[in-house]
Amino acid sequence: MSKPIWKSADDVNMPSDFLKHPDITCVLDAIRRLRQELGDDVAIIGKTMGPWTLGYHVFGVEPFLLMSLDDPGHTKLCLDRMKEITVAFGQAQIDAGADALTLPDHATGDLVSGEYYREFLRDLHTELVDEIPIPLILHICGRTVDRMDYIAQTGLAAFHYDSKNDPAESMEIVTDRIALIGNINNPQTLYAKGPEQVAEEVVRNLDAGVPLVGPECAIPLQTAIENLKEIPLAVAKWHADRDSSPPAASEVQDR
Amino acid sequence: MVSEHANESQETGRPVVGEMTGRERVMAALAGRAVDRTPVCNPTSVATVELMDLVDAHFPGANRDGEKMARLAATSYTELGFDSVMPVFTII
Repeated sequence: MSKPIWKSADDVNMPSDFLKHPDITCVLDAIRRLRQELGDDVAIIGKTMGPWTLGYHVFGVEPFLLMSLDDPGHTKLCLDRMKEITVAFGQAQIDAGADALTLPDHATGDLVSGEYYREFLRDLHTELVDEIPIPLILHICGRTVDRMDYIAQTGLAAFHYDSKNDPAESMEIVTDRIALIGNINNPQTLYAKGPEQVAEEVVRNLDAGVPLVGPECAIPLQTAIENLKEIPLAVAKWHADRDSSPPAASEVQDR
Repeated sequence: MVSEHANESQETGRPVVGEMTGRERVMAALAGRAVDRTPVCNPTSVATVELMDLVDAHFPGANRDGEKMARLAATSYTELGFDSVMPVFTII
């Protein structure tokens, strides 16, 4: 990122041998092996970076963000052209056996506003939903409640959300338009605390109705296995407790 | 969000779904359909040093060799009991 490779939309060009690069073939090989070895027992999720994240890499974070301020139209042209790279890598992983794809596209609250997401990415993400034929899971770190409504309008299957967002507040915004995944805190809980505190965060998500539970992002390398194993244990316990209790009045009214 | 295959428990009235595989559970939840329990999933990465030691697949090799990448990614399911695996360990 310190030495950007591109400066304008004219430079955006996917190399003809892009899918033969060792960094790409390694991922495709791994997905094929996982499908062969694990069969249909587990969901195999691939990952293809979104155009906004690619923009940080190929233009540099600061030049890309300045471009978005100075020339929004040109920035959109760059994003549209980089979308081809996102789709190509995603399709290759589908061909290798992926069930779903994570789409990291770091329009994070620490760098851009919710209105930025609406202007530059909402429609682009809808186009990706149309062009990629398996469920897409958007990942954006940081506080994102100011863009969750826009994210929920895209047709993306899921949004992997950060612990800076309250589960109940987030569910209230997205309702059943998109599935939230998350949002157990990495540095303060999974890395630094114990199973009891991990279970508390699992329960907070389940009580809010979050449909898939897990860590908020890629976990710190020194995270204890014990803390990670606690997540499925806490989920199982929550369901066992709930299933053995009579339904709450609100559940009865919902039916 | 109730699957056409779901029945209602006579005891609690909640939808009951037969036991699902991790894959079925994740794909159903992503589609907004009913599940037997909430899936556990990390769509970014769960690689740790302990897991690398367990299966002898360490960085940077596990980022460059498909066999090692698959071996480390599989631990999300085989060691941790998650419902998904994710072989791409970088998030940026």
